[in-house]
Amino acid sequence: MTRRHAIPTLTLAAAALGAAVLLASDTPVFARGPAADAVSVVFVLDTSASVQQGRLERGHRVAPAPENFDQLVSAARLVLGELRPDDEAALVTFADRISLVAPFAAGGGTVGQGMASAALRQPPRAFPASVVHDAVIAAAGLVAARGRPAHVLLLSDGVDTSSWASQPEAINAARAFGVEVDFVTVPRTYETYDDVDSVYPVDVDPLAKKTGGRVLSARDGRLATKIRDLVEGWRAAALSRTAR
Amino acid sequence: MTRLLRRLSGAGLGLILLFVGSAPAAWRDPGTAATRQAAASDLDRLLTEYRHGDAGAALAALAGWDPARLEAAISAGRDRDRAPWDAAALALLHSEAAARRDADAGRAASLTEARRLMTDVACHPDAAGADAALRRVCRDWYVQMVGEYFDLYRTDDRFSPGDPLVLMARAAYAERRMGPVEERNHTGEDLIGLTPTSHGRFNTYADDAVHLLRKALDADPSLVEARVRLGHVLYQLDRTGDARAELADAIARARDAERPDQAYLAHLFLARIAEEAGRADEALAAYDAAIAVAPHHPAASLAAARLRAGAGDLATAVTLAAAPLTSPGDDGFGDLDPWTLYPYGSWGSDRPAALARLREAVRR
Repeated sequence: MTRRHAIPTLTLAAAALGAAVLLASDTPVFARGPAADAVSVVFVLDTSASVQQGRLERGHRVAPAPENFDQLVSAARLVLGELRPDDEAALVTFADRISLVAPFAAGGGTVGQGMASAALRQPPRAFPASVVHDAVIAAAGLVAARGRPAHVLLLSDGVDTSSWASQPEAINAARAFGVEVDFVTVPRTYETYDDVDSVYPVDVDPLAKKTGGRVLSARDGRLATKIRDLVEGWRAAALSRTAR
Repeated sequence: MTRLLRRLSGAGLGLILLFVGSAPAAWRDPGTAATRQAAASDLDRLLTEYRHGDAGAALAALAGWDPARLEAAISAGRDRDRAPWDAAALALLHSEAAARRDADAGRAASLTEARRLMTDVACHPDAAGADAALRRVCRDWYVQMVGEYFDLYRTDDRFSPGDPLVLMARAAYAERRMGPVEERNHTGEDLIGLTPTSHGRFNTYADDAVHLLRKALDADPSLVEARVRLGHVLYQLDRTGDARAELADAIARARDAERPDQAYLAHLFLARIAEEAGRADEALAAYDAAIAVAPHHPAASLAAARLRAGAGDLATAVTLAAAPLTSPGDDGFGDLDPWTLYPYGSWGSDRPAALARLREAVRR
């Protein structure tokens, strides 16, 4: 081989090797693009006092349930475990404000790290508040922009004290954005409306059911199986959408 | 040498606070009179420190007390004669400590004792009548704390009853007790007894709120927050014409009053009225006006996103929905949306900070 032919040959060999590495990689996004059944999901994690401390404020009929938050995080980790490298995920948290803790990234991205952050375990506030409906709208807008099958996974007790949007408005927004809301719940820690703070119980299931999503309990003994079914359902829906 | 003495005295103070602030096992069984008296003496030492020394350290110490020890100190100290300013300072120390505690027995005990000290001693007409500075403390404490006590809402006679700030604080509490608008809309079901809801209560408190807010505005027409609240209560009473007039007036006054948070709320409420009347364009314009005042707060942006998405303008909707997530900020009036704070009235501001400001008045 002459020196004139050696450089193109080496270049070709390097390119072939690079392609082989990419195709064999666990993160083939750049080589092949996401599969047709890849999904985008925003984890919307409730960090409010009602979840973390089992109460909202004085005067409520409450039962302390500090394990609620841990159970929601465990459920989220089960979902993370079902995601593939060509899926993408982000983490939004909410209590009295809504925060993007982990932006969209391939696979689970930094969602797992975000959920482990000590900052999510807030100190008690004088006036704890929770904005479930507003958080759902923000997350729906966030995931709708991704241009592929979009899901909001709401992890919450469903107690909303301070959203500007009502529940029907949140449902309508999710539907308008074409986003399905799946809902992993923990039991609420009060039984009836609070006479002092005017916090009323609302049936939260419609948030999921009227957007095509499912409702799961974080305390379900078969949660892992149900979450596997849930993610498989997302993929099946994605494929059927592609086929259409 | 002086510096050394100061250091030593600082270390001594630290040791005293460490001792007074610690919770020996004995306090878990505060049954004996001697134990209760010792707890009361410790509390008095903290009070002295709070008024004349390191207030922050005294406060942190009391907030960390075991509830049983706190209850023992309160119980044993109740019979002690206190001068009005001492009582006000102790009430404030309790109020601050309660704001730092979780909802435990200690918090309740501190709140109850703070109310007693203010109502029965510091703000008693015989004590506060001639002392303008003390009356101001009483008023400001009431405005900050009325949300904690239903009986304070009912009786404000010791706390500057004609003061527009007191009237507005009471009105805010009344509005909070009205319950959400959705409950009011169940009237038909209530009439035939199917769904027990709150709207008997709703009407009572709504009337209270309107009355109190009108009195507050009579006393001070420039009180923008009262006008915004009046507009919102009138809207909930379905008096939308009156509500719109009050809210438009509030927006016009908010600039001079330098209250952009109130302008934001007034735009939100006008948007809601328009939306419920089916005037989507008008609602969107009002939400846009609110966003112009506070682009980093979520309520208006998300509502506008919802309306745009519903109208099929997904590109704009996505941008609006993402705005509070991608560029959070405080727009010059705190990082919480004013709507989140609205139900908590005047006491919805940062209570620890508000009480800390009040603390300076009792450190004399």
